[in-house]
Amino acid sequence: MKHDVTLTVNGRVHRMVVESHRTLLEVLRGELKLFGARESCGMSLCGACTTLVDGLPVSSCSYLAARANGRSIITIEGLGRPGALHPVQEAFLAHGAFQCSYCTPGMVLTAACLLEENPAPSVDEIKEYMAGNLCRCASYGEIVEAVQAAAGQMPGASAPRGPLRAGAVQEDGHGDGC
Amino acid sequence: MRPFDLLQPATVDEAVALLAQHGEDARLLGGGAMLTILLRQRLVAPRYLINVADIPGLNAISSDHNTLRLGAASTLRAIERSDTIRARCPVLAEALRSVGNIRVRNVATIGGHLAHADVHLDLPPVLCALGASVVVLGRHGDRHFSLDELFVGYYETCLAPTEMIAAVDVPTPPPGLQGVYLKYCSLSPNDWPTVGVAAFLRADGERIAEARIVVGSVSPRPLRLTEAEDLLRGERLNSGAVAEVARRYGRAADPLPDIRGSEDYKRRVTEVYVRRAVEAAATRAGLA
Repeated sequence: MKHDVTLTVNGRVHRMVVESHRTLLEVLRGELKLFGARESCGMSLCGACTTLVDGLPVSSCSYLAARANGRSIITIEGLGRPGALHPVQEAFLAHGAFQCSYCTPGMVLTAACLLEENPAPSVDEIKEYMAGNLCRCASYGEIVEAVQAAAGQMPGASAPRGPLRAGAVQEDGHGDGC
Repeated sequence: MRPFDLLQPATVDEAVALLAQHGEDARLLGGGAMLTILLRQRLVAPRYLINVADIPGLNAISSDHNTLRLGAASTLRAIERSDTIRARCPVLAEALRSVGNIRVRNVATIGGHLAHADVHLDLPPVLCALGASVVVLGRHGDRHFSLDELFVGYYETCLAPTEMIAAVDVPTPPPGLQGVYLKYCSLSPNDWPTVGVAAFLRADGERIAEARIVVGSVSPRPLRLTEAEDLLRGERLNSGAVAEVARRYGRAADPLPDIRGSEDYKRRVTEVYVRRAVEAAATRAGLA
């Protein structure tokens, strides 16, 4: 069965037709050519495909694209852009919080969401929130440091804010990575 | 995934009608945390999926004096973060923090969680101990089942193929009832538990007025031994009685041996975790 859907991806509105059994990850990578979300385990365990749907991290490998109709989607391409990185991206660079970087988009999106909910998380709170994002290079020490550092850099870091919005919509409506 | 048709009813009545129409060819889709994985692994291949997660209003969390009502489409994360739940049922909110991971909890629904009836799920022991029940809709109208009735065996509930869980009712815990959910994972902390224990105690002065102990993961249904609970009732907390209760649960456990441990290992871990959970509940109840 085909569904007419409207997906707002990184602030840009896409009207498209998706089949019932297509996942959000397949649509992001296949139709929209946004390759930041990766498939790894295919079972919601690893976090490589982490995508924000209405501001919440989900596993796009097991989220039906048809269910995303009318929702706001943010991928790593929409969080920041060269020259205007999100504070979490800046902190990951500054702390070398990756090796191979396969997990990085998922880590960064999850951390950005954590800081929206909890602007000053403890180390334990960071570990608990991000426990479902796996880094096979085991850069966990640097990742936790980067998230702590980013916590101090978030705009309006004193209070929790609303759902995360795309930060990288360009004037012409083309997000990075398209 | 094998192709299927995703049907998107706007009301529970429409959903129930679609279930009646398609019967065994259809499966209800909640958040899909589990079902989409089963679909991807081709362990299930229904012709129709009926999406109930996006039915307006089905994710409402409400309460009156006696009952907390969780709409079947409430996500685990919404329940975990609900001020009402945190205030009136803190153990439920606490247990939820350890379920799966943040992405799973953002999509998984309470209705789907219970209907899946995997013995490793974390909430059945907690909700059984709290005396929760489900509101079920189907061709025969409304039915209510306690969770004790709902769970029949491995991945099996008492629901007919044409019925759906519409809500979960949790009675407001009586004043003074304090508890914990304690689980042990042999593998990673994100893995299914080897054993999960919900233990609640209520103190009357220095004596135990009430004990509720329900264990998950180690038997086809949540394991509750009322005669073991009775050993604690009316008594002061003493390590001998707690050890005896824990031994009984260990003996009664009927776990499947798997990568998380042998049958014997799981019985021993059950005994240890029942003891620790009762001790932790006693501390919270001011008994220790």
